[in-house]
Amino acid sequence: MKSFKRKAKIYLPLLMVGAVIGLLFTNCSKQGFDAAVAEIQKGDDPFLGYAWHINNTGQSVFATSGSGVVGFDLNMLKAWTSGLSGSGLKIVVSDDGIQDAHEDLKDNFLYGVSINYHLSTPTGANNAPPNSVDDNHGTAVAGLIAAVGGNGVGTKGIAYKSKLIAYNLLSSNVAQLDERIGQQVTGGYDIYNMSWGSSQNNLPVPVAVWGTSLVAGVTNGRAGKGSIYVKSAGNDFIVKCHNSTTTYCVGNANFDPDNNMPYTLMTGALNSMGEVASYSSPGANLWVSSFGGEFGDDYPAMITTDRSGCSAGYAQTLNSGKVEFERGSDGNSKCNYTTTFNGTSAAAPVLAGAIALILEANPNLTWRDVKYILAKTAVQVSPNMSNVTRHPFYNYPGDASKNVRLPTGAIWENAWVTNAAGFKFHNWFGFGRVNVDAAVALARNYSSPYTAGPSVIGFLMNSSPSPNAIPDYDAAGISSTLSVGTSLRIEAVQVQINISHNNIADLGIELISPSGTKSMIVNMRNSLTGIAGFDNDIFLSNAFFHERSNGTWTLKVYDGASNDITGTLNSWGVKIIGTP
Amino acid sequence: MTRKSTYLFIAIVAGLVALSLFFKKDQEPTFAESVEEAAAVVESSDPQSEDEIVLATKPLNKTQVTEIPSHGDNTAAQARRLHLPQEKAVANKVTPTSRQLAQSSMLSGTSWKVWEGMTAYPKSAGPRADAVAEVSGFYLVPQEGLRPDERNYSNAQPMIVYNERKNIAGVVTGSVQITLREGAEIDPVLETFDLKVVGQLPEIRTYFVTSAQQPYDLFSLKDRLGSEPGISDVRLEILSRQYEKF
Repeated sequence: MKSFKRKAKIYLPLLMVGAVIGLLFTNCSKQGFDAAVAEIQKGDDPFLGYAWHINNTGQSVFATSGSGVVGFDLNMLKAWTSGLSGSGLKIVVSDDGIQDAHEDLKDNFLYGVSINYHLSTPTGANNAPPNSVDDNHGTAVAGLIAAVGGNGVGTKGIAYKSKLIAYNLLSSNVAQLDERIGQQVTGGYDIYNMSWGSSQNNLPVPVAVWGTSLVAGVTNGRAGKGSIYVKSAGNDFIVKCHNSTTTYCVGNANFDPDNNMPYTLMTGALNSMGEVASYSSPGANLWVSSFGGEFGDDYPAMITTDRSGCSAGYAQTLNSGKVEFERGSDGNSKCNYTTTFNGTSAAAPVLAGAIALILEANPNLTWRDVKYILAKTAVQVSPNMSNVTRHPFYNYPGDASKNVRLPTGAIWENAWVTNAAGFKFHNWFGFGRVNVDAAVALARNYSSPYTAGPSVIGFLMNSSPSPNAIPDYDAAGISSTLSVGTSLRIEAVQVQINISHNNIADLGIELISPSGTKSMIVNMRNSLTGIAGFDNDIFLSNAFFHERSNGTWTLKVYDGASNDITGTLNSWGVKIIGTP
Repeated sequence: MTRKSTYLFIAIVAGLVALSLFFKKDQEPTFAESVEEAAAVVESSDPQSEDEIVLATKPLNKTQVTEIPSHGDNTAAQARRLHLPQEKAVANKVTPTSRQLAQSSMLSGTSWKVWEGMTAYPKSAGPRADAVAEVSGFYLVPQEGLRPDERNYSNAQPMIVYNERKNIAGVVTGSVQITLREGAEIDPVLETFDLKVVGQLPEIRTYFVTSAQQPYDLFSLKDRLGSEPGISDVRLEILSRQYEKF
């Protein structure tokens, strides 16, 4: 008894001190974290807890196969607790319309400046709401950017006080005229979100006004600081092969010529488990990776706004999916929200919202500054991933006759590279995962590396490469070089390719900078099945960001299929955008 | 005694809870740990569905083996979850026979050929049971015996063109895209050529024009606009893109 009392006298104070210290550590040394959690809980957005991209606590949402990885998210809570909300920023959602009357969007919709192609005078429209049963996408995209925060309903967008504008190019039955393609990037607003593109099993014909309109936008938008254009990389990691209805191939974001200019921020998608999303298109033209989730029933997708009511939108009473929430259960009685929205379509608005916070932190940033900040602060995903030496269809599902065997020694996709300027790059992730708090911190104490406007070299061409014969099924392939004399600090590199070959799906194309940085422009055994030749097609690589341009550039062309088809590298060249 | 024990018990529990909370919070995973956790998720996940496959990469020092019950090879060092995608609408479901393709002087220097026996209707005009494909918001509709005439062109019956290399169809809308030189005005151009504006991007001095009269000579119109000093660029609008929501 006495012993117990004596021990109690010793241990009780120690335990009390331990308790106090523990609580202090819990509540004080993690003060920022807890304040952030409080910020998330503040204002009663009842579904905000499902937003793993904002605060990944390992929640499974309604997925049954797996949940997320704690902390694998935007890392953005400090930005919110510091007061950033996207206030004052105007964001265009180029999509299939926005249900502006939605309970969680209406207070953030900016009336009178939309473009509604269902009207005889599209520009200056009051709004551009969904026009058919298929127009569900834009409302979901809009919620990820700017669902109203603290209003007692639904969820909360990244930039929950920013203003939304709708351009409805993708609405059903809208003719996709060239004028309208160019129009998607006009208006001079702060940020444009484009969760769309072309199927990446083809080489579509470029739309000339797209490029010139983008140049005008980054030159004149935001009072000369440049509008920010965010675009989805695509969901075509696995896509039907060109002109096939039965066989799958691997696509590439660079196959869409809209994506080969440095004026857009191409984003790939990550899931909640710390990985590249299953569908996210690869490409040397990616800038960063944002969050797009998986499919919601297997692994978490994204919580966002959905067209109101249980007979419209993704969540409907008659929804046949596995997630009850999508049928009006689990608090979603009006079916105004969805937890199964996913894709690089989701990753783009998440990035757009993040950029709004960055611009709010420092409104003086130019479009190039924003790109730089995102690249500089991005975090590597799967940093130990090495070269991919087997094709994704090494074992084609269900049909061994379609198994893909690359030549011995071939590299299908490069590992992370660290370029000569210290930037890390991977075709699946760009510069990596968006890191909002770090980006905001850099934005607040920013000294721009850009003191002059961008200069351009090129296209500098090698019009008679030697050797030029592309051997069949050869991991070594052929190499060709060209010399660049001018030294620019690179912001982007375009490569133009002219190859004669009866099936360019066989071919891999790799560009190597004077500093030795490798960038796989086209993966061999790709989705361009049966297309004959590259006809001066242009691709973009961001892998050389901030390297110097002068020196010898090398192009390698590999043939990854054993089919006796050989080809010829007729010419190639590089165009370099950068600053002296 | 009982009360003291109770206080002691409460204090111990409070201390342990506080400390565990502290350590739990402090154990937010590093990024690398998060990735490892993700890999563990892959390893421990339920057998994958038939449409989920795994990408094999060169083995790493720390090898991860992912079971792929249906596909055999289990040497994956790192996994990328892959799902076979949902079926997409196929933009161009039909291809022309070589006999249906004709050269056009208006399209010389391009990869386009005229697709005879085919025309287009805007989707906004309503559904078409006879449509065989969709391009850029238009239905492609076969029309027996139709031989488009660029010299006697009507926008109501667009010419369909086809790019054999890329296997894609295009719709010639009858609009011509012109870009004005710095200082040039659009109104004199409209007046001179009897045109009307059907679209514009004034930020880049670009206008989409077509003849105010129907039918008209589209070939000649494009040719003459190309000779106009105030115009720096002339292009025939050929719609061939099919934009998808990602």
